[in-house]
Amino acid sequence: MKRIAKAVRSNARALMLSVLLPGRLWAGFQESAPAGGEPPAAEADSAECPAPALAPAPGWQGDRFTRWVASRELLYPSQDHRGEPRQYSGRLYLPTPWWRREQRSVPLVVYVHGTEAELDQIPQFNRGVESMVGAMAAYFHNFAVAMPDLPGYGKDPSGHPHPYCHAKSLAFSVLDIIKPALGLLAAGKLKWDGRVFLVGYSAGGYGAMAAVKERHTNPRYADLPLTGAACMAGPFQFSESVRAFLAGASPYHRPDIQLFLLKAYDDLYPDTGLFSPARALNPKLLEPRTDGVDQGELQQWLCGTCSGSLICQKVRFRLTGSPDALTPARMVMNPDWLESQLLSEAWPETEVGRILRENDLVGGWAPRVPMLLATSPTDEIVPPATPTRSWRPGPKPAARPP
Amino acid sequence: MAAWAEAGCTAPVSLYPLTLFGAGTDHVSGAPLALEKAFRWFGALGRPLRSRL
Repeated sequence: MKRIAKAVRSNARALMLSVLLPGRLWAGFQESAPAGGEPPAAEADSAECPAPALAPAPGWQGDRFTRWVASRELLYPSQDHRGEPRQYSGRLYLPTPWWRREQRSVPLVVYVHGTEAELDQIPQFNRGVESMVGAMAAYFHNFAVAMPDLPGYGKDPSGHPHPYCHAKSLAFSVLDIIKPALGLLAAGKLKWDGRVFLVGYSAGGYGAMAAVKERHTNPRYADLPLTGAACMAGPFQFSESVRAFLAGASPYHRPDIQLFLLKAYDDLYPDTGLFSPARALNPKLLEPRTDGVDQGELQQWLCGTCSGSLICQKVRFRLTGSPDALTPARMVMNPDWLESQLLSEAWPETEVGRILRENDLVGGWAPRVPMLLATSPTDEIVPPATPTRSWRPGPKPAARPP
Repeated sequence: MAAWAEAGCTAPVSLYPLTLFGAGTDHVSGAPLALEKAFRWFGALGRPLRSRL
């Protein structure tokens, strides 16, 4: 009884404080909260990686909440897209409210986070907006939420960058977390109710759908439980999406995404040299600068300490002289590369086209579990036509992006 | 999904346009609504009928 009363007092007090008290007081109150680990200081302090100039929004206390929800670290074996053994990390958030503790049977939700430029904003370190959403899903919806850090983040010792929107790499890292997470559940007081869900938004939606596809097409995962998946706002028709956001002539809000993609694919397909910055990017972006908003050089911007917003500002400043001027997506790229690959008459049979089509998630398979696809009608980053077209027949893509 | 239908897909697939409530219509602001929708959808999906009553 004493334990129950203590839990009641603790939860009620925390809830009231979160609503009533200013951020600073709330931060002080939660100082004793169990921490999920700190990111390696060496990376943040590295002389080659300038610290981000953008401070967190005032009053942001999401990380405090994330640390407050009960969670366990996960380390699990997996493989990369070539079949080489890899070790990945993640975190399992557990339902903790006292009023739900009697309901011991919970489903497992595997939540795949989306684009993240900063290496420390991941579940491993209990940081980042999406870690908070995963913790909230555990707390308020009574799920056990497993969040893989994904390859290239957390305790992946390989040294390779994150394989951004690469279907096989993401699918393996997402599916291989399911059994270790269920094992951790079984070792605790919570009972698994037999359901497993996948969810992700944006690049996370792409990763979730890649995992569903792998689950249904790879015999290695045939016995893996899967009840349903919510794959939302992702570039599922990958080749066409990439072509649109690399070669589009209209202003594009997220040039950092273009850089992440090229960095990842340059690492994934090194022998081709097709995605090397020297070949694919606007040469202006490769010049080192010693001062200004865009000081440093491209590899420093992408080393994992700059936020996506800061990278966008640097790219815009380098290309236009203003950190806020939106630039057409194609301005970030090397025009010769665009003409020979994405805008070529031979598309989609160009070398780049073939590689991108390997990562299309539409065609050649069909899901055997219920799926929820969602799209935002005015989505300017992953246009709604992309997920919508993957569900219903749409107009044929234009010969050249507008 | 047309391609899925051609491949013999019989699983229920729902397309959820985020136009409800008049909020969350772009990529960033649509995310919370989409995720909340997904979590609620999971809550009911695949549960035994007696546990939903």
